Amino acid sequence: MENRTSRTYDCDVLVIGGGLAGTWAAIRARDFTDRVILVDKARISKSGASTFAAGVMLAPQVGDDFNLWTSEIAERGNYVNDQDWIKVVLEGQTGIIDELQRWGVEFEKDAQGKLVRIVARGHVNTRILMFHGSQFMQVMKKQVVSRGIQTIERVMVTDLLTSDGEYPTKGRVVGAVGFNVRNGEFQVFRAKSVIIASGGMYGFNWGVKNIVGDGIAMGYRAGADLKGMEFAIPREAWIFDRKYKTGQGLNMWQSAGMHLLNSRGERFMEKYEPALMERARLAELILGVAKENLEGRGPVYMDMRHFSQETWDRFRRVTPRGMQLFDKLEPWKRKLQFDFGAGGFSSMVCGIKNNTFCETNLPGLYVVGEAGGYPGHGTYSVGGFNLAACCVSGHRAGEYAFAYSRQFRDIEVNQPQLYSLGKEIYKPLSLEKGLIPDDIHTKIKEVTAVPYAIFRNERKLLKILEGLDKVKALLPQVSAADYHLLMKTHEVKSYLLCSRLVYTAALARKESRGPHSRSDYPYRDDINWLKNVILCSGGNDRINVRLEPIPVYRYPAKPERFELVPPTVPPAKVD
Amino acid sequence: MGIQGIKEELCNGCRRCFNDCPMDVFRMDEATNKAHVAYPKDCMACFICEDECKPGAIIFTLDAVDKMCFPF
Repeated sequence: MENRTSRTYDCDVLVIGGGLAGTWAAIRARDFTDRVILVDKARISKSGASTFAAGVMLAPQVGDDFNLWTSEIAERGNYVNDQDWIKVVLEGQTGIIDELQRWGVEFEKDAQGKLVRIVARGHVNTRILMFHGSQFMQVMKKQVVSRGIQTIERVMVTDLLTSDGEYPTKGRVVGAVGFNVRNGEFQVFRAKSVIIASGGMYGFNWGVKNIVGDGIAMGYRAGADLKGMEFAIPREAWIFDRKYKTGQGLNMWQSAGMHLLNSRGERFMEKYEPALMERARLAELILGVAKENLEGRGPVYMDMRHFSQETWDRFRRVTPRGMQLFDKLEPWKRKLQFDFGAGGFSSMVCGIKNNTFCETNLPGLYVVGEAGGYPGHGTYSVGGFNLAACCVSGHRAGEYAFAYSRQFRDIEVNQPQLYSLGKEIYKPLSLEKGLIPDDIHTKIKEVTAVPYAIFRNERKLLKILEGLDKVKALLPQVSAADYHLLMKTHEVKSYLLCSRLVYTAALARKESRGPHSRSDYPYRDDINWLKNVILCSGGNDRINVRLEPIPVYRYPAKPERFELVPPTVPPAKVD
Repeated sequence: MGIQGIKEELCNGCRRCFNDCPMDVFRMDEATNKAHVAYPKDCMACFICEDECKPGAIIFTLDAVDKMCFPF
């Protein structure tokens, strides 16, 4: 830090991450103050999961029966949903859709100009609309720019600042630090409130290759509670013929009626989800594909040969880049071998615990979007809930974070913490040539690309955790030759921490629910396990685990009976 | 799938790829004002650079460029 330039910013609201939730948060905060900063480690509307979203968003409209929608979302989310959040998302989203249309977001409409609403993944009564890929985020960026919101790109935020300088803090969050990924300049953000909007923890998947749980990890280190980590679904991408991959489009292919066939030509999803078949939730799809392979009925094929030309034309509008791969593979002519790989997560419902004001347990720290794990989703309910929750949570946090910030005239950061972080961030640059960040990711894959990351049991979860601890021991040997590689070093550290947290939470939840499948506890246990597994830092790399009951008693939607429920996809034997 | 390189003779130094790549794959040569692929392994074949490159200087392959792994 001695020879490095640095830059300091002061603001009322700092938004870390410029995706759909982050841009909404910045836009809303800007309604109240011009001291808003939106920071992103890449390029807003060109990076992040929102940019590559495969075109669907939950679309409640005035006149829909929200009780029915709530029941469906809670039932599909296996009743661990925060139903206060469901109410807030449904009520907020109707107005959000109107606003987005006024801003020029292109939604699919019929010949009369009415929004087209369809069913896709998991929907029975709920409905989604379709948008045209990255055009959505381009509109959001235009709104950010037109409001004069201070935007800082190519800056990776690595750590939060706390008032007492401690991790975990007993005080509050007072800002963040990071570095410019091109010129290395140290960046200090003194902020009266901080909104983490950095997305989930996909871990080097296609389309989201740099969404690796940075915000979740930095919140955790500062002392934020995490929730839902056990519901991360191990996968990398949608892989065809074990050779070609993409990360977007599955929701759309499901909606259009894709078939999944095992080696016997059977549409095996009939065994697991006879009502929804291939429109099952992602968890059931992944578990089903895994089970068919592990029990000798693989490989699995995706068959789209029956799709109409109208369907392919719609795909070209809604997921234009996804179609580039299909132009090479020609799924209209042949079925494609389908896998989901390993080495990453579909992490949608894991993140920093938050309430409907987007508050975390740390004063001054808010979280929106996927970094907050969409509490209304439960284990994952219906397709399109994510992006609706991004909009609504972002909109709310912008207001509530600003309201919180009003009580402070100045911000004081802890100087020893600032100095210490300023040195620590750059340490990998000064190490002798050692391991590179990709080496660590390879080692994480070696430990976790195993059947028992999917079909879990206590003995094998402990084996995964032991393996990840060995990878952690290698971190001090990772050196970075330049600032881009320094970014990758920090990314892989975040991802390793998140991986350890996932399997720690999986060990704690002694039942199966949604994507979390345990062969030693195969039933969903609504008697003992309508609870959240909360992880928080105990300091010195200790992970504290506690259980918190879900207040199902006061929620509108409950299971019919509190009992043991057989799994939708019985675990495959993997020992 | 991933980027293989840039046709130097076609690059006009507009910096669109450098400015917009989500994975920060490109760097500019300040002397020649041409872009080059500095971190090819980080490419995730999103095609943003190819879409934005007016002279068509980006070289891509849809074939697998990184080793995938599978749990079964």
